[in-house]
Amino acid sequence: MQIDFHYYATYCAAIIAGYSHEDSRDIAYSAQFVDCCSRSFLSGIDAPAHAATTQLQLELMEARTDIIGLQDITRIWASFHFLPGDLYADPDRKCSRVYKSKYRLICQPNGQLLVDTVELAKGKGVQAIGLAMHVLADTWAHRNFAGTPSLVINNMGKDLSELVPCDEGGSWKPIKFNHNPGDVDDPSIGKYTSSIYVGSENSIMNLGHGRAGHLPDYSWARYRYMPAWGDYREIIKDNPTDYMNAFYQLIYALKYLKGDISSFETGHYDYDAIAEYKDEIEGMFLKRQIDSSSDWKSFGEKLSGHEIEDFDTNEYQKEYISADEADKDDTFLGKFILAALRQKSMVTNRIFNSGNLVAGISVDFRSKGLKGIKAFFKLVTDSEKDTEKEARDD
Amino acid sequence: MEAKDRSVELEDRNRPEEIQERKYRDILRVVGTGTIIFGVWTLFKAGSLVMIGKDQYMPIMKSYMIDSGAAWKEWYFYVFLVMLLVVLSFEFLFKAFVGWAAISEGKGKKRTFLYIAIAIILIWGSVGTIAGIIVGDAATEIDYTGVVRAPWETSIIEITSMILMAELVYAGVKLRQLRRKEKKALKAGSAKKAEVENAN
Repeated sequence: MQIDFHYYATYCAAIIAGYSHEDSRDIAYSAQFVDCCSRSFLSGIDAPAHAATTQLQLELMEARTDIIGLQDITRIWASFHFLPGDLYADPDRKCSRVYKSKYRLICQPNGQLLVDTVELAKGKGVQAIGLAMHVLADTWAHRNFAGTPSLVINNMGKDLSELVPCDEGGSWKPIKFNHNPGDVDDPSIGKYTSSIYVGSENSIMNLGHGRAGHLPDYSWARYRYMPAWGDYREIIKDNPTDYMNAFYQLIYALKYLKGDISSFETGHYDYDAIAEYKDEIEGMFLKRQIDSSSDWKSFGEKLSGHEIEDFDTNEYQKEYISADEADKDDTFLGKFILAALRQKSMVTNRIFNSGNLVAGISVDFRSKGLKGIKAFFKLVTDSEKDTEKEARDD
Repeated sequence: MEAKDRSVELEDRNRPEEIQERKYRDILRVVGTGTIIFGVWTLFKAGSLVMIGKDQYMPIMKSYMIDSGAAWKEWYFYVFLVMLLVVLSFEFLFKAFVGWAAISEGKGKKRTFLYIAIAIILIWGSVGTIAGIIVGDAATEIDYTGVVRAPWETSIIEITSMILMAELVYAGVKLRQLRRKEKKALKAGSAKKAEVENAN
């Protein structure tokens, strides 16, 4: 998904769920920030690089694709953008262990990891909520792709067609991608870009939905294709429906995190909350445009009665840089960094415990002692603080 | 939103026969491309024959003919070279045609059985070459492809080519069987429909 959903639509969902304008804005900011918090950004503010929630194109170009590099890439993308749907799924046919381990990383909505992600954000502040909402939303948009470079999972057949609306309802038109990364998509003439085909299994070009270009990120797109893992089965990706479900589920999750609902369960959507806005929201999802930020912004401002500030990646940089070392974790970015480390640690741990080494090894600090990546020590001290706080409250 | 309509279409496009057809068409596209590449390899052999033929092969041919008691004239070699090039050209053309037809059928166009028949002939050609290498006859010192004393390399290439052709033939035949089955089912379906209409 793009800024139109992660920032503006998340803001709208938070307002509908009953959050204040300020909280909704912080949640939306954090949700969008997941797409901006790269190693380059973090090194610029002297923050832990392991809290990176994304990798820029330039970073990916330089990324290693040996086993260590692949694990590093997978930890980021599987934790924040392609949350696995079922870590114990089995392919229909006999396959190698390596194939199975990648197959199990395929992103699907309503998985157990989604429950874990939302519950992890409970009581951890608006930054954690925003991060969890980004992950939730992406499980719908990025479904059927895996957050690891893999040709045999993420490649698509050549027969890809889009359902283009017309007077008779719709007609299927073949899509032919062009591979110029500098080119801009033009849906009006069916012009789309995607990553170039590279026959190497672990090429960066085969990460996530690169082979499908930006199609999964367009809320109006409906297309038919054969995923490489599908054994020649065709899938129809109905983005308007998926985005609508994402929005319903976002509201439900936000209400749970606010305390209005006692538990978060998969397959639950808050249909009633947007009954009066359904047509307007559907209209925004169906409108064929590259970026629907302005429509969502107007809608959000109408809902809240407040102006929504434009997203600025550097908004909280100064606060973080100027804070003392001991106070950094209490700044906006500090809280986001903690949330990111928590999420990454949780997902990597779950993947490792399922017997899958694609995301590397996960060490439980509390039981095994302080071994491993130093940046994650913060989580131990943070959880100790939580335990102390709970003891005081009792 | 109308997601339900799309699901119905999805079921229709994911019947076992549809999935099989996509699989065989994909195989034809891939092996068709491979066949054309093997055809280009044949051109490469022809080219190398022309470039180094006189220096490498003429002495061998001369000694062979003299040893067997036949007369030797230099122009014999050039006649032999032209014949070899003609054979190689035919081989290239056959492979190119088979590859093109397979790719075309893989893309959904209907092709006659001719390319499959030629593929079967090419399989026999590969079998013959490999048999000649196994037998180890001195006569195959220069075989019809002009390869001299390279039995392992030749075997690997010929076996690979044979497997490719076999896969092409298999996919082509299976695709035709599927289409015949579909035609029969359609005929039976429309006959039943007509019966019901007549009864009404």
